[in-house]
Amino acid sequence: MNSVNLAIEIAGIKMQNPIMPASGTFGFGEEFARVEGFDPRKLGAIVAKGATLEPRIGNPQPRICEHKGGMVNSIGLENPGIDEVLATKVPFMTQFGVPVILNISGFSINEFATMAEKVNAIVIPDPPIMIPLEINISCPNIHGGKIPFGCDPVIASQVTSAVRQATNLPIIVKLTPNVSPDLIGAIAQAVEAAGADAVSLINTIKVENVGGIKVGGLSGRPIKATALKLIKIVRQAVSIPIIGMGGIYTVFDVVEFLQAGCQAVAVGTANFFDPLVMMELIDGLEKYCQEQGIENLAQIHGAKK
Amino acid sequence: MENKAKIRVGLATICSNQQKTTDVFELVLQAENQDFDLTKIDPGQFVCLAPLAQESSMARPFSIAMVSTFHNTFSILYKVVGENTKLLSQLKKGDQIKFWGPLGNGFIPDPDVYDEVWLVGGGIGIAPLCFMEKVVAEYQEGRTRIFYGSRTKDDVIPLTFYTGEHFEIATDDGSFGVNGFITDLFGSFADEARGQNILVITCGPNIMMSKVAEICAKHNFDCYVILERIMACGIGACLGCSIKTKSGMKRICHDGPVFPAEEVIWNELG
Repeated sequence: MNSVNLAIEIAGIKMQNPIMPASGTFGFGEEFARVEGFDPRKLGAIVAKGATLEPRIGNPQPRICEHKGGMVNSIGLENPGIDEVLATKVPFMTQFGVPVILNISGFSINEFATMAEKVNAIVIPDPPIMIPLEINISCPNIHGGKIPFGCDPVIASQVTSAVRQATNLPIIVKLTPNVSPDLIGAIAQAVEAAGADAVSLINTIKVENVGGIKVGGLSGRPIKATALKLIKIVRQAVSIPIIGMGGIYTVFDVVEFLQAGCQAVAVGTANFFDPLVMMELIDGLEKYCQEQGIENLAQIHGAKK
Repeated sequence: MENKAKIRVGLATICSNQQKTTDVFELVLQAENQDFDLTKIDPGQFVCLAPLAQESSMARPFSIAMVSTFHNTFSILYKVVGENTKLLSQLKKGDQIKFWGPLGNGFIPDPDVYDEVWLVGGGIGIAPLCFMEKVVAEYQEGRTRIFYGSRTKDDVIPLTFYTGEHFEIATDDGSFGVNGFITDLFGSFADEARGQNILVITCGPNIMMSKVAEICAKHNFDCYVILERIMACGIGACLGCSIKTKSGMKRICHDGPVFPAEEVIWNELG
């Protein structure tokens, strides 16, 4: 049996493997840590639920429903606010010794910058844990007609620049799929030029009037094809690493995303189907590589254009 | 009441899957994992079953309806409402299903505080109250009373405690038991019991529970409700079942499903 090294490095973030949760499906890790057999230490990284500058109570019920083999959610960014996240959630998440990616969601460019400054001021001394930022640019811009920041290359670039100026932490910009496929390459290039160290995609796909939810985000199996299509476009457009997500359930899905040009992948909706799925994918990916004679993931990355 | 215990994930073997009414089944399960400790489960707690339908993506939560430490089994009562519960009803003895739990916070009434404990169940909402009745009866024999409401005779789930003397039943169409809503029958007993120190625990349709809560408030009875909602993860991570309450945002799966009635804002339940 050959030895397999699943380790990757994205924008200076060293991860022992490419598997991480998608923001919003994992809370702040407290619940999954209670699941027997789930070891957060085994993850490539922890990705926190999206934080906003102020606490938010989120949307009224109904918030979720199954749809087309996946699910629609309209949680509305319920979270305790960035200060509480930094005070109580970050200490919990950093205890596991793996990178902790903080997802931040702003409603103005200034909010993004303010949150980045707050995270920048946090020091995790022992052991030193890197806290990269994932910038959720799918939020509505209250100074821009509530059009999401991520739908316009210029605005997306401005958000990224503002965060770049506020921090030296690695920046991952999470791209929205709710744009024309002709535009997503340009948006990715814009954020790369503005200082993004990586991009993650895709966020959920906007749907309307499903299961009593007026506007929600579709995730899971039905968005996988769109995710792969957009990832391939972005791969051609930029040279920074991609964290791919959208309907990943199996080891074969993971491999498919890596082959499409992703350096790492995030697992979202599948966590609800089976709380141990990420543990199984990490073990399964290692086994797959052994069987295929793959010694490191560079042999898979972008293998299929 | 904060629950920090380990959540066990594993397979359960089906010991029986018995049809109780035209659309309600009782599934008796035995966990493969010996660490799934039945003695630590409280009434009101639930388990998630992995969905059986190919098209499904979310966990399926079910109240624990009974625990048998003697047989090392636990059971759920479920109503066939869609593809998953239909597939569940087709499982046979010896089949296995993935589950995780125990989940949520259960509730054991303090025996020294109350004169009587009254359980008010509507439809399939009787499920967690079966387990509650067993636990309460162990220390409060003769001091429990069960109210069970059903739409019609054919929907009445046959359960062992119906032979007990403190059992009241009503059907909406009068085909069995008292004619009318269970809340009216409960209300008349509540009027009679004015001044007593009674604890009421209710589970069923929201409209029924809100009415029970209103009657309890009028009579100064402590009232706890067992809420239900569609869940995605069942463990508190996704916030899909978060509701606004008088004491802030609460996750039904993690902070509940048992809540003091006075905390609940009924029109926030969706």
